[in-house]
Amino acid sequence: MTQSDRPYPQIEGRLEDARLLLGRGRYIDDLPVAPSTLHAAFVRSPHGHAEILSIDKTQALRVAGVSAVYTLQDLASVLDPFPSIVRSAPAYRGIASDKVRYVGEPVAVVLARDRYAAEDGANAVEVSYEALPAVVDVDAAREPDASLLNAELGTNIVWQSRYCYGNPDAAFAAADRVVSIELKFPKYNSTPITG
Amino acid sequence: VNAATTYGFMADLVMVEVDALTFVPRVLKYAAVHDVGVAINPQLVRGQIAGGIVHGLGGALYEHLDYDEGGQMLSASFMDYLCPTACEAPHMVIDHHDARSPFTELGTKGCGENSAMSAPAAIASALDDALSRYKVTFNELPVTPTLIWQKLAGAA
Repeated sequence: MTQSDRPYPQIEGRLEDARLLLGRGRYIDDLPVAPSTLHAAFVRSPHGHAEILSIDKTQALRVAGVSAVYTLQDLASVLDPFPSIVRSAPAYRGIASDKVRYVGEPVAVVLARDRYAAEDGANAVEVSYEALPAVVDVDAAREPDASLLNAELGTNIVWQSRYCYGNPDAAFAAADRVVSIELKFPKYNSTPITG
Repeated sequence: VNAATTYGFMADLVMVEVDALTFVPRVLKYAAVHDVGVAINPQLVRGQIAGGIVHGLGGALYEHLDYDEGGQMLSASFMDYLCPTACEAPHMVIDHHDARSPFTELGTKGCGENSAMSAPAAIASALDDALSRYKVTFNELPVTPTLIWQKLAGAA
């Protein structure tokens, strides 16, 4: 296809390089905030899987500078569940309800005049857990006696689907050679170097 | 989900070496030819493909979110979770064979995850080939020096 066939202007070259390379980039943290803006710190689960027996905010609310401590109970009415393309996925609001299901899951959020007070407040929230067996392996999670992350589903398999295009059975039957392979693919993520 | 109107196509070719003493694998050269349909901004497409190759390289050789039996994350910092840097990025040859898509308004196809998808398989296969005289194959990633050593020890 020639340039003139293209229904849009051709763009070559990055316009943002000079700004970024000279340290003139502007990030969220550079934006001004109102003087009364509060800082948040999260109380997070130390368990891979546990039942939350109780959350005691009393001591946290006594920490100087702490304005509020919220749990899902306080926030449920204003939090919509995360949208999910998996229709059978349990509703999740980004903060634990009766259980924690991964290490680091938010359990409570502490709001305070600065980050220091917020972190002190988060340390003072007392959460009592009853640890449950963690499920960290895909194959183990599919076993019938596996510890269930969502008991109401009755299974750890939240979604599965099979695709079939054409006639694979006939193609395999007619093939000179059929190769079967089991592959283990690691879990890896995009990892921002700033957060 | 069938996103067939935006499928792109690609072919990747990888040159690897494995250090005979340390078993450290290294991708020396990576060639990728893509059909992304009409490229609206060819420079961004090249950047996307280069980024995809290095992202796939991470999954092939370095990156793994590892957990212990209790669900504690064992690779929670960049000290433990290795990401490829400019030093690990291979010499890349990127070319295009762009056939206009009849299904989209601009003739474009997908290029979002491009070589990020093919690089893990291509690199693991290249390592199979490089070590073919020892008859080892890599069916799990990342292919770390430890895994190569274990495979070679098992094959010996």
